[in-house]
Amino acid sequence: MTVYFKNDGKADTPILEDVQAIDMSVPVVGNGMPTLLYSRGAVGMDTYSLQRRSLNQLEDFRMSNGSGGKTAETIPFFDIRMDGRGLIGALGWAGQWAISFSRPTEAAIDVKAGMANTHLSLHPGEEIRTPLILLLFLGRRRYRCS
Amino acid sequence: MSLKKWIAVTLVASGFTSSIVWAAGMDKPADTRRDEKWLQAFLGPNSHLPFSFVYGRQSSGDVVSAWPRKTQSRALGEDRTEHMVTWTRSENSLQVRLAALSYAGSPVVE
Repeated sequence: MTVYFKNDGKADTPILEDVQAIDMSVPVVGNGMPTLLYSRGAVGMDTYSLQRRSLNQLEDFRMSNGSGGKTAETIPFFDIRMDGRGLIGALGWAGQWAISFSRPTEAAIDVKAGMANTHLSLHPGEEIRTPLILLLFLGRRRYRCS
Repeated sequence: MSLKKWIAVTLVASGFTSSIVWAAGMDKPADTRRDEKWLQAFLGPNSHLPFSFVYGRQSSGDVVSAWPRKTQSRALGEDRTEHMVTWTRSENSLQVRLAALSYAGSPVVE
């Protein structure tokens, strides 16, 4: 999915900010603790190794490429697993990106992803787009994680 | 069979964010009923925005819901379908467009 914003008017738009290419609440299913799988970035001996993290209630977790450079810490990919079901997501963007997870209640995980910072006005005729988002809804699968 | 419980999604109201509800009972990846369900969850007439933004200090859920909405779909060959949902604010003509690709027999939104 990609979201486009275009100014078809004759004046600058009001401020457009905090644009999230996805902003959704994923309901927790099953009895086990939801787990987030993600990947290391391209640095060191564990390049692209799969990581595992539990998504406990009231905890937040954020992935990004820092100031927009090389994806050293993580890559823009995630896999939320819950009792054999899952949601895989990936983000395509050459600039600064961020993906955040929070679990404000026991029942759901909030996922937001997109450009790390947006605060702009569009001139007449200007258009911007968000990163491309891929979402894959899956059933039972297995991964090996470090 | 591991594919017995494929996931379908529907959105429920929760402010201006989207919410996914898992469901079971779909038989296989190519099940068109399932494909249609998750697609409608994102793009259907009763869906909620799967993205968000702030426009003129107002949340997207508040502003976009009042804007006229237009939905289009077209086949891109045998396996892909392009979906477009467009919201246009007439007052100053800001246009917000959600573009998505779906693949026949696959639970993917791209």
